[in-house]
Amino acid sequence: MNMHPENPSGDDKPDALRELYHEAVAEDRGPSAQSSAAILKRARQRAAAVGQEPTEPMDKPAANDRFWLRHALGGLAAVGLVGWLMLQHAAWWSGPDKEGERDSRAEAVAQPAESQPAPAVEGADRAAMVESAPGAAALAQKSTEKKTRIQAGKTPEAMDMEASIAASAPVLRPEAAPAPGAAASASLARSAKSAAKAPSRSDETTEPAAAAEAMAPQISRSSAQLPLCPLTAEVHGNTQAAKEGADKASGIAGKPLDCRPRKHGETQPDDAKSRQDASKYIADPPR
Amino acid sequence: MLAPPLAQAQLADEALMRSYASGQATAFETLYARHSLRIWRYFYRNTGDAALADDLAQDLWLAVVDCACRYEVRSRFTTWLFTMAHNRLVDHWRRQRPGISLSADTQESMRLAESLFAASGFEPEQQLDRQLMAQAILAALARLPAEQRECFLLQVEADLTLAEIAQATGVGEETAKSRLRYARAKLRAALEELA
Repeated sequence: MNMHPENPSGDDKPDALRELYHEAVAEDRGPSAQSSAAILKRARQRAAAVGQEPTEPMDKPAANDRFWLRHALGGLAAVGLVGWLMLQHAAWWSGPDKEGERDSRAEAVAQPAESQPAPAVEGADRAAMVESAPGAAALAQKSTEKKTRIQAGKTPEAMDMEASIAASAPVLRPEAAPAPGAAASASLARSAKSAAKAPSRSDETTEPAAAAEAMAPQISRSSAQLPLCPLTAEVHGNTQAAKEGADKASGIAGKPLDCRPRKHGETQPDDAKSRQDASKYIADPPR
Repeated sequence: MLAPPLAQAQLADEALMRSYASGQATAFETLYARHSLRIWRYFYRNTGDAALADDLAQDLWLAVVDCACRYEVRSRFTTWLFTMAHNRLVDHWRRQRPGISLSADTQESMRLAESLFAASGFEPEQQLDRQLMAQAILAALARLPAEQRECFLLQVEADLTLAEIAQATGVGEETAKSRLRYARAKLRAALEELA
C-alpha cells in the first residue's frame, strides 16, 4: 500500500516534486551555530543532572491526574461521617439523659439547701411541707421516679457506689465548710467516699453486721429526706412488709434508696389531688 | 556507560531518546545531528524567516531535552517530534494572526486545486532547467495556504505517512489527504506556469 500520495492516481512513479524540493533546499544553511551550541549545552547539562540524581519514579502521577477530586471526595466523606456520628450521639443523648440532666440540676439545687445548717428536714416536717405545697411534692416525687428509672438502667457496681456516696455524704456534711456549690458537694462526696470506703472494706471482711449497724443511722437519716413509698404495700395494710422491702432496697443491701417506709399511722397527705395523682401513678406508672 | 558513537548512529531514534533520558548526552547529539536540519527547514519553509526558524527550532529542541524523562514510545520519534513542531508553529501563527482558521480551506483554493489536479500529466523536470524549477517550487510553496504547505513539508521533510501527518496536525486522515493533494496540485501548476 502506498501511504505517500505522491501521485493522485496512486501509481508508483518516482516523486518528482519531492526530488525537486530536496534539490531546491539542499543549500539551506540550517540552524545557526549559536542556536545549536545552546541546545547541545543544555542537553549535556540535563544529562549530567540525570546521571547524578536518582531517576524519577515512573509511577509519578501525570499532570492531568485528578488527584484533587479524590482528595475532595475523601474529605467530604470524612466530614459526612463525623456529622452523622455527631447526630447519632446527639439523638442518643437527647432521650433519657436530658431527664437525668434535669434531675442532676435539681439535685445540685437541692443539695446546697440541705448542706446549710438550717433545720433538717425530717420526716414529719417534710410531710408538713408536702401538705403545704402539694405542687412541689408532686415535682419532687416525679423527679424521684425519673431518678429511679435512670438508676434502673445502671450497672450494679455504679448503683453500689452511688448508694455509698448517698449514705456517707450527710454524715460528713456538717464537718465540711459551708460550700453551697454543687461542685463542692461533689468533691466532698468523693472525698467522703474514699475516706469511708477503706474501713468499710475491712469491716466487711471482719464484721459485716457491725458495718450494717454503723450505717443504719446514716441510712435512716438520709431516708427521712426521701419521699414516701408508693401505696402498693400500704394499701393492703402490710406496713411491715413495706418497711422490710424498703430496708432491703436500702444501703444495707447495697441498693439505692428510692423511698422511705411509712411510719405507723403515717398516711398519704389528705389532699384529694395528691390521692388522685397517687392512684393514677399506681394505675399507670410512667415509663 | 556511554555507547560508542558508531553504534549510536545505527540505533533507532526511539532507542536514542531512551538512552538520553537515562543520562547519555551523546545520544541526544546523534538525534540532533539527524533531525536538526529537517526541523529547521520545516520552520523556515513555513515561516519564511530564518531567524524565526532558529528561535522556533531552539524552543522545540529545548522542549525535547526537558521532556526526555517523560518520553514514551507510543509512535515514531519523528511523528512525536514534528507534532511538537506543528504545535509550536500553530502557536506562532496564532500570535501573529489571531483570527486565522487552521482547519478550513478556502473555496477558491479548492476549486483551483481541483482544476489543476484534472490537468495532471505535466513533467516539469523534462521541460525546464532544474535550477529554475527549484526556485519556482520554493516560491510556489511559500504561496501555498499554511495547512497545505505544512502537510507537504511534513511529507517531504519528516517522511511521515498520511496517518502520521493527520496525527501530527490533529486532523482526520481524509482531511490530511485532501490538503496534501491540493498542495501538490498547486505546486505542479506553478511549475507549469513557469514553463
